[in-house]
Amino acid sequence: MPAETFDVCVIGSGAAGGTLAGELTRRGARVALIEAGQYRDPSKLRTHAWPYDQTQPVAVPDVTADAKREPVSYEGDAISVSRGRVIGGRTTHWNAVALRFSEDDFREWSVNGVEEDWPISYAELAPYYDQAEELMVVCGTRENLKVLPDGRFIKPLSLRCSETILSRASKKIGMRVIPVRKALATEAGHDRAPCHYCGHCMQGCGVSAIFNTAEHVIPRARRTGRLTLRSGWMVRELRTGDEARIQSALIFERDSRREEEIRADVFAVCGGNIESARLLLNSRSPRFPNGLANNNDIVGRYLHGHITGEVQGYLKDLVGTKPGNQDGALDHAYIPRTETAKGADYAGGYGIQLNVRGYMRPHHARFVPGFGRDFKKQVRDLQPAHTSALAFGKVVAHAANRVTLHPTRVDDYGLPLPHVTFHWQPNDIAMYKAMLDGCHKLYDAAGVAFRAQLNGPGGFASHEVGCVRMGKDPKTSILNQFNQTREIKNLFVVDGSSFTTFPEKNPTLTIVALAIRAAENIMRMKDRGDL
Amino acid sequence: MPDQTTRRQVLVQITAGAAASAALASLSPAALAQATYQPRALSREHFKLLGVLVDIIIPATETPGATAVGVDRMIDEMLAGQEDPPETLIEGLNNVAASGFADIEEAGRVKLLEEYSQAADARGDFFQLLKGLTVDHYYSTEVGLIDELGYEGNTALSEFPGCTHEEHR
Repeated sequence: MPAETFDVCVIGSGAAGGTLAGELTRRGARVALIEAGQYRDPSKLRTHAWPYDQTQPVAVPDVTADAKREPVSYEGDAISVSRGRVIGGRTTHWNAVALRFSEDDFREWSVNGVEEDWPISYAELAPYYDQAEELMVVCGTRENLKVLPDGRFIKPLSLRCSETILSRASKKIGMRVIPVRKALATEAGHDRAPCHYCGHCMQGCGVSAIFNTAEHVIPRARRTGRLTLRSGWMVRELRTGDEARIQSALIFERDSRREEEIRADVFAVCGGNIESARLLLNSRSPRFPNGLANNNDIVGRYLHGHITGEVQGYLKDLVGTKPGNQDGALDHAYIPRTETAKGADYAGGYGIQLNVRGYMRPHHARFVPGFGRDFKKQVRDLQPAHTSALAFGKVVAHAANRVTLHPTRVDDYGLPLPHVTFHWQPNDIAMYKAMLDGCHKLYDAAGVAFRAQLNGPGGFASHEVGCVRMGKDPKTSILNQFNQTREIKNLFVVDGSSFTTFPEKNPTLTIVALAIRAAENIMRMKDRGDL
Repeated sequence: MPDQTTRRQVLVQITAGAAASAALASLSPAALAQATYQPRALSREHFKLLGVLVDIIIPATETPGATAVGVDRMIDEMLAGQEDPPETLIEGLNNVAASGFADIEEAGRVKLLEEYSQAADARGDFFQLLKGLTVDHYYSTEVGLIDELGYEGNTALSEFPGCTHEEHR
């Protein structure tokens, strides 16, 4: 009996793949979901263990690619990329910030004369942003800002004293502090446990109040009876024979190295920016000697993400006050991008997350000058006043920044290492200076006792995008407006690698919106017989 | 007289021994571990010196200081678990020992450490590294986090109350 031919084979179960598999099964498709990792049980996380409790060591399960078994090769400026190895991908341990791109974010060329326009507009994506926010359950407030469109929000997080003080200060310098928008259940009644404000978000939410495809999408997809989940399996290559059509995915089990072939009518690659590009590059055939859908040599190019800069300090108004429980859900407040000043030497802008660092591990005490009795007392007085400003800036999509296959080195699975070549561009460096300047001005306006600027710039805050981009121009893009590769009709790439350009805003909400839209289009094309 | 002196000496020794045993027996398990710790990564001399240094950085005040909560032990254990312990730390301890640290009194030691803290060279790097490690470990203990900083978090709230202070708006 021949093996089943699925309607769609989805590769990767994170924000893109998980959402896509959920939507496709909901719409009647039989889906094979291939996920490199296994299930990570939230009840085993033990994020509430005390750092000094020696009887109960905290074991943090490995949910990203192991640096020894699956290294990445880097060349150029110091940045890092991340690859998930768990059902749910990076939605199992993310901070949940969920921001819509603005109208202008899709039109960098038309508006700013840099990069290119996306082949889709905000207006086209808006209905899918609506659906994404309902799926992810996003808290926030309506602010009527052109730079950050409002969405469908539940009860917002409350601003702490530090954020209230910073809000007052921000108005003096033309900035604005708003409650952050996060895919976080801040109240019961939304089909998931509500947040209990423990501040352990980045270790993995132990009650799944943060949107996580492993908890909030895949179980429902399984109940349709149309999902076949292969966890612990990776795709070695996608096979076309000698056609312009994917016939099958050659998958292998990571533990045993056993191989199988998965046949499907449609293939959707959602491995995350680096892995999706690597898979296309590593799947060669006589028709595609340079990698799938890559006769224009664009796959892997335009690697970009966020540039980050950070300042921490102690607000004068809070020094010596009674500490109280500050944990919350990490950053409760956000400063959206302000209008770039006329004559500025950079295009785009930056947003700032306030208080993302948490309060249980006060390593910031190292920034307080001195040592001894006075130092110790000062650290105590300063503790309730601690605040951090983490700025995320736009990075330009530049063709020479890219991921390729390493020519000689392979990982433990025999796959060529991803080789990342990246250099900051003048726009990025000018952006970095501007964002730090903005953070310092904010602290000047608020009044800080001490401050420390952390080493930087950082890149990419796990927000790497662009390596299999969509676009209007076939010479500089791989995908059309439907996340479909131009050269192979039944091959879709749906994750952050599909971004044409990238603003200062966190990518996940847009990834989920694109995945919902891609599912609709795949089913429509299938019904028409176009796939 | 010799016999009385000998008896007195013996009695003093027995009493001291008993007191010492009693003192050890009265310690908590954690304090006992601290008192009997054998360094694994650092030499005995370096470990002793480390203890002196971290106690200068975070001394006893109303709350215990660094060695009382085991910061020196924690740093040594951390180093023992690393494949590549930072050379900066080992070389720095060498330099401090070589400066005759053991022979100078408290005020001189503080002055030396102040020089290190201002230095732009390897001494400065050593100091920043040591201070960072001391701070990280001290404020991760129950004494440092709860008693000293008054941390009240790591719990579960049904609501997170925002700021209600008019003076902050």
